[in-house]
Amino acid sequence: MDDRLLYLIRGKKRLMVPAFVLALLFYFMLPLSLIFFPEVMNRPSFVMGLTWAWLYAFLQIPMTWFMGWFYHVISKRFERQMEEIIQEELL
Amino acid sequence: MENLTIILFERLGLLLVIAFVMTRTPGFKALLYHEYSVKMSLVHAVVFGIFGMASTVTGIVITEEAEMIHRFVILPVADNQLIVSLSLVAIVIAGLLGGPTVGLGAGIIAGVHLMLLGGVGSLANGLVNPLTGLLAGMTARFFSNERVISPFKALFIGVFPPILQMQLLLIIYTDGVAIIKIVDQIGLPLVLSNSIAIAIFTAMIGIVMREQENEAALASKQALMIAEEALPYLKKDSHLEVANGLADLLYDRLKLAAVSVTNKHEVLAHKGLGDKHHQVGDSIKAPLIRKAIKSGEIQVTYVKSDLKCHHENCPLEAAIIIPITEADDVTILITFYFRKAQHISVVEMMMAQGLGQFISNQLTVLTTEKLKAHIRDAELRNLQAQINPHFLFNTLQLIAGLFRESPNDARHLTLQLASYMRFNLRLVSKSLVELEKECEHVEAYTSIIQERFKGRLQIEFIKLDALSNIYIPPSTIQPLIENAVQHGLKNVTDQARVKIKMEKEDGVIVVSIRDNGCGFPKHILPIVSHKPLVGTKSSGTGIYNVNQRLVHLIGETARLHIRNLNGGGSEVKFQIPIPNQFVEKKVME
Amino acid sequence: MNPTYFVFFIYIIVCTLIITYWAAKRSKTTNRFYIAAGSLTGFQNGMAIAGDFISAASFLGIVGMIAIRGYDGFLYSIGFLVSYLVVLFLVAEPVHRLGKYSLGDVICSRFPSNRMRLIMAFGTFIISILYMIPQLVASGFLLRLLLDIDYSISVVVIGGLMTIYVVFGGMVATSWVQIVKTVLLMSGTFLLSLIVFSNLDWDMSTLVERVKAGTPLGEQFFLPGHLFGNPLEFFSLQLALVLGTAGLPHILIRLFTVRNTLEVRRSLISSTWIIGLFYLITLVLGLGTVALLGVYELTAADPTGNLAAPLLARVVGGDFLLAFVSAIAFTTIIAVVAGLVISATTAFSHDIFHHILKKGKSTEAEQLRAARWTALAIGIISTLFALRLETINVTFLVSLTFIVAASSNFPILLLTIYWKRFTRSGAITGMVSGLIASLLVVILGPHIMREEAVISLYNPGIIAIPIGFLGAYLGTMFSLKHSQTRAEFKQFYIQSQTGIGPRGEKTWKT
Repeated sequence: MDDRLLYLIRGKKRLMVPAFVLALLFYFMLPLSLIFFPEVMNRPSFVMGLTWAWLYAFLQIPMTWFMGWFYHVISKRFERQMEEIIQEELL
Repeated sequence: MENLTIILFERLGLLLVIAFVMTRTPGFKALLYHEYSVKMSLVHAVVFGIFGMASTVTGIVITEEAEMIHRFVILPVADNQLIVSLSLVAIVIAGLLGGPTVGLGAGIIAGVHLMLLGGVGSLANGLVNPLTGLLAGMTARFFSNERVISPFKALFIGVFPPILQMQLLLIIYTDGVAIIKIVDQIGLPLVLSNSIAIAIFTAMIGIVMREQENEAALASKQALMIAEEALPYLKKDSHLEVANGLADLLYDRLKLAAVSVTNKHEVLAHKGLGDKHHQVGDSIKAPLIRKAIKSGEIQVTYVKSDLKCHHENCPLEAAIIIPITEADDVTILITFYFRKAQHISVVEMMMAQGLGQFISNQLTVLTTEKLKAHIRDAELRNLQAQINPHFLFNTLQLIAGLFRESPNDARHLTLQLASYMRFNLRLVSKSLVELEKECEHVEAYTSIIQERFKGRLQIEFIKLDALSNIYIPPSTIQPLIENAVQHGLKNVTDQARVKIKMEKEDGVIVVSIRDNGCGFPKHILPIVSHKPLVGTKSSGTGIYNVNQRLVHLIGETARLHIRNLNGGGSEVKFQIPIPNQFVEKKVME
Repeated sequence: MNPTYFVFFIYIIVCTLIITYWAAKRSKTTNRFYIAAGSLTGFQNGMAIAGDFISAASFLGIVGMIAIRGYDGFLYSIGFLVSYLVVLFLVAEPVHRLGKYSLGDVICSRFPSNRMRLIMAFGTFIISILYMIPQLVASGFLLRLLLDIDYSISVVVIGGLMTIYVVFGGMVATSWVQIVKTVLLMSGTFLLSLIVFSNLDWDMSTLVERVKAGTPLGEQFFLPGHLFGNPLEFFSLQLALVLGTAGLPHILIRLFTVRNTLEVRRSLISSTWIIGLFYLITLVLGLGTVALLGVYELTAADPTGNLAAPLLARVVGGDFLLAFVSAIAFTTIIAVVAGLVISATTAFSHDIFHHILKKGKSTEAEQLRAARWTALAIGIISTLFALRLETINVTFLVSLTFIVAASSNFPILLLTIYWKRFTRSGAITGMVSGLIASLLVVILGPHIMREEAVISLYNPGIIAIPIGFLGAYLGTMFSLKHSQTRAEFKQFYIQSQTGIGPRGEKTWKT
């Protein structure tokens, strides 16, 4: 059973890790962009009145919310699969 | 600011006085007490909404120059004036008591009223009321599980709605008017007055509810006391005594205009108003009573005509009729009379129901006890009969006497004796036996006594052929025969003749025992089956015992009918229905 | 300020506390000293976490930061928010599964050791004090604003009062304190932001215009760069913020208070929603301060910017609103302080007192007493520190805490959960090196040493955090023995990831 569980965990990781890395990248690109492309960041974006810098900063908030939801969904699936394994093994 | 505070408190005082008076009226109490339903919620919302409107009317108007106008706010105000209203008090209470829907409803009413009155802040005032009602309703459950929140908690919760109000004012009105100055001025006074008013009002409502609960507690206590005191009366044997006792007790304890106790046909007792024309022995006319008898359920009438009292000035206008059942049969009815229909309240209804239930149960229990006593008695008698020394000695002597002369008769008699005694032995435990067996018993008995009183007694026994499946209490006929024989023997002129006849009529078997004796004494006839007669030779108790057993084990229809015959002698008759009805009636096995 | 309003201010605080007390009473669990026995729902716990998290720093500091520095101030809030993802993805569920009362439990579930516990408890202690200091500073400022008294006196008064409150009463059900405070805070600030918008005629361009007019930076206000001249600073700060929450003990122990991992996720997700919304509101408030009050006015009253929110309230709503907003701020501070003290005293009395000193045998009364002494100690130490820090925006102070947390607790936690080869000695050295490194870089930095600073970074996270990891790594490499076999780790790993213990039993948290 342990092996099956490890396999499951690995599957979960396969989804989570990229998502997490993506989130972090999205986040850290903000300061990095500010450092390396300041002119671009200060130009107005397609949203009225906001520069790209502001827009990008704002977007971090929905990104966080989205990632949270994503994690929730994947974890739920993972837990269900884990329950199945336990049921099978113990019966 | 101090001025405003004082004025607000004055206005508040006015409102609280009105509220207090309101809580004293039974209408309001009823309002608080009703169960939840959509209709009641709407009513609540409207009542509190109106109260909110009244609070607004008793509010104050502030002008742009921060002057206060002290008139009552009835007409719409000018655009640059602000209404300071205390409506939030009513709305918060509505929410706390009735939940989000009532709070919202009341808030909408008060809010619309405020918006119609106009002025600065009309929109803010209009919004804050429904919002507050909703929020108060939602959070009330959160803080306390009691039906009415404690005034102390209400005091603190009441701080926040005015703050919300001020903030809404600030949000909505930022142009021109020196709204900040106004907020500074009215903010604190509003907070203070609102929260204190809410606390006091909540305290008032709490008092009302506690009163009701106390009433209910008192009523319960009273009910239990009545139940306890009624017991001795119920144990009496005659329905008349029971009726009188109950009527007296109930009239005395409950605040009723009158109490009457009746059986199915006539009034047994009446105490209270109208006792001049509601007499003992009056027959029952009201159709409601028939309905009560038939359905076995409590009937209530609020209309005088339903009572069918022919007396014009009868002061009784409403009644609750309580049927009392004894073993599924309505035997007596208790009626509570009232002078006015409004006097019937939940308390009286509850009391009626409770009493009815209680008395019915008690009577059933008592009956069962009596029946058990009878059966024990019968068992004892059987035992007695079994080893009744006289009967045994006499019979044995008889047999001994016959040995020499007619040994066949002696033998026959011995066998009969054996059969008789065997029957007696077997029957101590059963409550019903087959009719066949009883006939055997009868025959055994009659053989013996015919032989004993040879020449002086003649017994004729006409029995039916198809006797299977019919049940009868054991030792029913034998005591009747014994009784008949004794009567007959007292006939000096002729020999005693006893005729026992069984015949089948539609659906029943009629058993009759006739004798040509001296008959029952006149004064005894009406009561001989109703009361155990302490008399000579246990025959009085015998008939009573047989009657009771027949009535209880088979039913009223099996009651003994006793009469003296025209040509001298007496007859005891009873009938038993032909099967299927009975087997359920076996009380004990 | 009008003394009447001061009374009002006190009154509201009292009301809030009393309401909190009732709310706490309604929960049928006995007031367990350590955790509220798993009775909170995910959402409620989320509110409590948000309450613990949104401290004076977030409320007062960030509004001021945004008002004075513009865009860079906003980045603080972003950092604070995104850090929750790190918690959620990396450490939340394992922490919930592995521990019961404190962080020490979590680490010691893999490396049982008294020394480990001691160090973990010590780390928690330090972080709690560091987090507490800005709260006291903020309340000192507030009191000075409201009553016009000297900062030092304010701080001493507040420090004293808070300590008394926490020692004698604050142990009670702080979850509910947090929840009520979150509700009040969110609604109060939301309404305040509506008032701000209404003052600006609900028009964004008006807002922008007024902002430009109100700040000395003029047009440049909206551009990034007014706080972090050096990109390195910037990056370093973000690093510390994002990793720091996952090392904050008083947040992590909230993961113990729910029933199962579903609720853990729900808690964290709810708190991200609440915190995200809150930071949007603070953005509005910060910009509103510039537009309606003006930076000049603000800095005249308070150069650190800590008082931006209350001052804004006074501008748009007079003394009435000032009193109300200050009361909310105050309650926020009290709530956070209570939460911090709980976590610190848990660390002390459970880990040190119960496990180490008394070897697992101590009565609840004894633990309670130990906890009280700890609370007293924390109160006194924080007050003393707060006295010296009058000139700093509180957000800075909090971010220092984050640096410490990200250098010490976070590496250890992460490596314990995921690294096969991690050993006990590695954990110990990691923790110690992280703590020392972060404290050193702060002390040697410009905050404390001003001009003679050895390290010129205001945000030395980028130095301290890797040191923490490095220390752990080196400690592991040089340890004398492997403290765990492969199979043991496998077991541990599965348990931390799925909650399934040896022999396939699910270890349910009671």
